[in-house]
Amino acid sequence: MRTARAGELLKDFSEITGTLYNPHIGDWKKRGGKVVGIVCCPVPKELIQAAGMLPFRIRGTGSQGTELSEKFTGDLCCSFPRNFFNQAQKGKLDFLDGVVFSNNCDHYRRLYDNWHAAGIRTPFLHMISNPKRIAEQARQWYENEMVALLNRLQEHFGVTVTEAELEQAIRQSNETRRLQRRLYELRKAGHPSLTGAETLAVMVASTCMPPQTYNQKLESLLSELDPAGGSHQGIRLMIVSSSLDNPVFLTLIEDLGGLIVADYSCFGAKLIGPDIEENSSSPLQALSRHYLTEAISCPRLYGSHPQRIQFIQETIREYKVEGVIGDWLTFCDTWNIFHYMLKQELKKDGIPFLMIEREYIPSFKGQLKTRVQAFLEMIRG
Amino acid sequence: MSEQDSASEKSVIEELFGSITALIESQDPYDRLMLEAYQMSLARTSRVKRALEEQKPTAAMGGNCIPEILVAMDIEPFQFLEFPFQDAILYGGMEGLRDMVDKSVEMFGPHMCSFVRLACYAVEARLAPFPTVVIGMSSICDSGSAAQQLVSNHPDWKNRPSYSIESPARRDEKSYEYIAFQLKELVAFLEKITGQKLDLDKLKEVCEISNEQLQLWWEYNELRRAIPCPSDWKFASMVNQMARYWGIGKPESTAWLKKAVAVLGEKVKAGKGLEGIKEKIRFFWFDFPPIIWGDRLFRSLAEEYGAVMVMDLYSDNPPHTMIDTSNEKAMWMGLAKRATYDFGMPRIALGSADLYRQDTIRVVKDFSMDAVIWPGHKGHKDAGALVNIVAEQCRELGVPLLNLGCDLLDDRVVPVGEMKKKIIDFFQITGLA
Ligand code: SF4
Ligand code: SF4
Repeated sequence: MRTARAGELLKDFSEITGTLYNPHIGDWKKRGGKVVGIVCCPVPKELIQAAGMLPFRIRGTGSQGTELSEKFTGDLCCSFPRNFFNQAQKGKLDFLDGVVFSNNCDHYRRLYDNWHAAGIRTPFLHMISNPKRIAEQARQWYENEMVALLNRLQEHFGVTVTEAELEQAIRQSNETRRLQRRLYELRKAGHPSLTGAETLAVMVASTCMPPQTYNQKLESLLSELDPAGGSHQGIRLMIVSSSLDNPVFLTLIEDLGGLIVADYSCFGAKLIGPDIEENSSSPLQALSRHYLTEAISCPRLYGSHPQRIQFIQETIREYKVEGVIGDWLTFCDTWNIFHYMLKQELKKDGIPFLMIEREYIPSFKGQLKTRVQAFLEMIRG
Repeated sequence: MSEQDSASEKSVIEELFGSITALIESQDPYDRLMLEAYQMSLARTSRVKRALEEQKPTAAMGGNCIPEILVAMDIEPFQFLEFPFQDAILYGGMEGLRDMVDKSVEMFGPHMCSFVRLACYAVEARLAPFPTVVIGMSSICDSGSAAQQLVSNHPDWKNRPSYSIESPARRDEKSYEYIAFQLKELVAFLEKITGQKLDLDKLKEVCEISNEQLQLWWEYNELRRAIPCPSDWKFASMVNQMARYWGIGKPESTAWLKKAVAVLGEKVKAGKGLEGIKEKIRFFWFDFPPIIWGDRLFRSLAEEYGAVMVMDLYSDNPPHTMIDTSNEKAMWMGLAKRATYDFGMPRIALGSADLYRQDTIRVVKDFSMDAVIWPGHKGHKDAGALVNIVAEQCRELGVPLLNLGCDLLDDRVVPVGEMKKKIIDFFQITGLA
């Protein structure tokens, strides 16, 4: 069962997630701390942590539109970067002392140039070139990219990062992973003690607050939740998505009778994955290996689809998933094709699949609502 | 009558290439050369088809970045989409192609690059022939990279040997070393799968021929600077094919390129532009030319408004990497650079904003452009996000830019008539027409 304290903590997580500049960032900045934005999973947050700064995974939370972005991004750009770029131009990300971009997708990649062109005055900007294939040579390239990022961070912010600090950052982020794994375990119960929307809020919070505080808060939450389960019920769904950072979207699905019990998404399970090797002879090697070959892979990575499909199939079994929703942001080619592949695989397994196309700012009206309702009806039989 | 109706009344060949009969009957050396190029192109198609039938080593490619290696190893390269595309048109005409496009939209929706979408469809619908190996470029664009995964997950293709080259998002010695490493790895892979061995002397020879061909391409483009412009985009595409794709390393292509430079040189000396065209406006088409509907658009713009497409990004000739064949390391580095930096899609898709700026300045100045047309192909999402940066650059240069918006393959997304109207309005507003 869920205690009143659990309810408070969940509300707290949801408030942290519902804004860009949350109180924890405020406190951190007041104490003179630096905050560095990162745009995607494979920009290793541990490097920023090790440099004594707070990594902040950039979102477009609170965005009402993309009127300022369109001039720069054109009209074929995914609404996720378009919205956060809009927020940045409005000054909503001015608290960032730096941003590390990456070539994760065609849409993200060009933001680096446009950030400059729009005159956003983030003091530190860096571009990391993440490999798009799995191979030892690619890992070495990636490791070198990490060295370059570390050097620039040290140079710009006047800090020195030791191996011990890198190790400590790895340990701390593994601790987060272990706690989050426990959180996900709770979702396996017949009647889980938290909804998909609540889980997402807890997960997103890990990308925008100091890790130590987050870990303590999550530990408290876990101690308040009954592992035997709670009262939530509904058609057990898994959501497969990229930049899904808004719990409201899941609430809309859950209000129709679905219950999101599992996910493969950038602000969800992908943040967890296996632990990064601790006490390795080279923390940077361990980090590059982790993000390139061990973490739950992203569809951008050539050659990784068998592992990804296997992960989704295993999750379906473990979490007793009855149907999968493939959430897709318009113009994202990477996920469009991956969803097509996944649909074929799930068809073979007899798992119902529904692909939803949407924009970053959730609107869940008319046709979309009807489609989800029909999907749930179909599963109910 | 709509543009589309008038298109379907012509034969497909005429639609795509203009009148072949007129070419055959013409005594003009420029036309004769064009005809010769078409014949060479057909001969090459038959050669690849034969290789496929006889199960000789072939490579299906998602990007066209390493022809020198394949030529040196006697492996016939072809593009994934090439044959399904040709078959659709040959057996079904324009409607055949449109039908294929519609089916691909049913599968993957309308927002993806139509070239990649068609390639995916061709694999899914079992229309694409099986090569010995599949070679891709996992970094060129998101759709291309995702498509490679789709192919390697398809039951028929799962076990086909494939290799994917990756180019980092920057250009420096380290990047070239990284790519060179992969090229060598690719050669080892090809040797293992096809049984063909790479003879370094042969590679050196191909690189040297290719250097000469690029030099000729460069000379040809230098001649295109002349006012009026002596050569059209279709001829330029053939030059590109000879120097960069199926003509690489072939002495007959070198001979053709030499003739092209000579013929064009004569035209320039005589002050001759395009036949029957009074050139008034020179524009830069900032992407590759639309082979399916390009002739309709460009010809009518030239005939009615004297607006000539003088250069496109595919026929553009940035300072090429001349491969240093004096030692093996230099040769691999040169190949790496050329594979990802010099030409076509890799250059367009992987280039930095600065590279776009530099290309804009160079082409606008060198070719005396009056305007830049940014096609806004819906596949090029990375480039689409640079339009403002290029527009700023154009403002600085004092040339107007039009962001057209189109699909480089499917003219139903934005019909040719609509595009033409937009372009004419743009010329009029900017005082060019
Ligand atoms: S959803 Fe796709 S296009 Fe959008 S940011 Fe993510 S990977 Fe890029
Ligand atoms: S045309 Fe553009 S989007 Fe299409 S495959 Fe080539 S680079 Fe990719």
